[in-house]
Amino acid sequence: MSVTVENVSQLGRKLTIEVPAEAITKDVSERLQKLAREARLPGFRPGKVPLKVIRQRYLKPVTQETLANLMQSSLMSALEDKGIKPAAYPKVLPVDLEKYEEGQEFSYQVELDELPKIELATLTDVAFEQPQVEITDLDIHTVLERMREQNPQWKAVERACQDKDKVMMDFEGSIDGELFPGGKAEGFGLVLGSGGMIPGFEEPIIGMSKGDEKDITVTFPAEYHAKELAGKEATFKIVVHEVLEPALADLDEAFAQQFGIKEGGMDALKKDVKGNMERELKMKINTQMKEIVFTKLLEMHAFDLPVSLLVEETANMRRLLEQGAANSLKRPGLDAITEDNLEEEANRRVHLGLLIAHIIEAKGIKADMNRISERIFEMASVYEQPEQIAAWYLQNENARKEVESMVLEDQVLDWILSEAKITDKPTSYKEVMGLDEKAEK
Amino acid sequence: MNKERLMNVLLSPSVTEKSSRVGDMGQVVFKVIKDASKPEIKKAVELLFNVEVDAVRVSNVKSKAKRFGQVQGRRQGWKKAYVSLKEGHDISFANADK
Repeated sequence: MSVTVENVSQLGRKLTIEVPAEAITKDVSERLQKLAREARLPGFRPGKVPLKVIRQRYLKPVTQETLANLMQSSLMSALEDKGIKPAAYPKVLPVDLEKYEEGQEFSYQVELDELPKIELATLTDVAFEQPQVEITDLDIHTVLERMREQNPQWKAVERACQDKDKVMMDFEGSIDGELFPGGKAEGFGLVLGSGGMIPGFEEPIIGMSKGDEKDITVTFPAEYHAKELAGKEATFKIVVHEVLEPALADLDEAFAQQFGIKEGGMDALKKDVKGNMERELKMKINTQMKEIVFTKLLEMHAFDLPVSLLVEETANMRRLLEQGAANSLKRPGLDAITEDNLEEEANRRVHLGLLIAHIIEAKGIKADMNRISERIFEMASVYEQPEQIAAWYLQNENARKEVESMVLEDQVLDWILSEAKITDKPTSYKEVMGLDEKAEK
Repeated sequence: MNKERLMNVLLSPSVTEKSSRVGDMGQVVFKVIKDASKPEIKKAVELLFNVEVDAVRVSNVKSKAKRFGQVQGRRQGWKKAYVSLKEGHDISFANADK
């Protein structure tokens, strides 16, 4: 077997592989002999077909099979011989197997991208700042306040209702004087300004007081989900029974119970909230550190990227984008992926993927089984039946691989952090979580 | 003997264990039409394969009785011709179907 390598571009290689005639002939006759032992042909007892007849009949298909097979095996050994590590599966240029004639040598060409050579830079001089956060009572207090705002207690008031109030009422809707199904309710509670009803329903209600009655006319939006109502004008007869005003709930046992705390009242709730905050914080710091560290890593290691991988990744991302899964592509804290920055992002992904793979291989990092199962249970706990989901992850090869790669990424991060200089940076909870920005919005 | 008739005499080569065995001794086996005569077969083989024929032996292969459910039936019989080629002549069926 002779192999010629041609450098097409920085990483692109074109191999011409020639398989000698003897190798082919030998393989073909071996196959024919094997076939002769079991072939069934009319006019012959099984296995008694002479090789000559077999040859006459099966030479062509067997030869083609042999060639297809040899292309596989010779490609592997050719790559090994030349010490080429392909970045993706090599692309075999089409050959016409039909044209091959017995006793000739067979040659074909493949195109591939070589894996770039990566020199791992020393990380010991690199410094990262690791946020150190202490969750203060004030932070917990802020969270509790927000929970209070979002879960107000309703107090009946004797005045005309206004925005943010809750109105208890009956309504009865009709179109052209006829009642329509689903257009009637009694004792219905509507929070004004919540947008829970069709547009134009809430506005006329504002200003009504307890005991008031009123007919309002509302047009259903054209794209309303119930076809027979869409775009129609309906009249609702409204009777207001009660006007309620939101009030901040007391931070007491009843409040705690709203959030599923059965015993221990406020102290237990606080503990629960703190636990949640810590978990969120940990995840947030992890993703932030990952972003910072990996960006730094990419800056330190510049190398050519295999074109084939770039093309593949771009196509993948574009497909996801078209499916409307843009969010799954988004890196936390950055703008959404669009057609404009797609290629740049694909570039980064391939770059990072190769780097991480290199570190994993060079440093012999193995996925930690404990961390994998920990991660699986963590992910599963969000679902209704965590055990089933976890079991599925453990059994399904592909799903487990996915988790494994996530864990490996984390382990690479750990390794980098253990190499690099880490300075602790005292940070507040708010800063890490970016709560201040949110409040402004 | 007209050429048109000769073209129709040979039906197909017979490919069996026996035919490949006698093939090694310079004989070729054909299925031929029922009323073909030895001289006809000889001429036909010489015409179609461009070889010289030494001798022709024929035999009638009897039809087999077959039964499909209650219906008694009979398969078609056929005539088999063993054609001996003269020294140095050979027929290759590389591209012929049975």
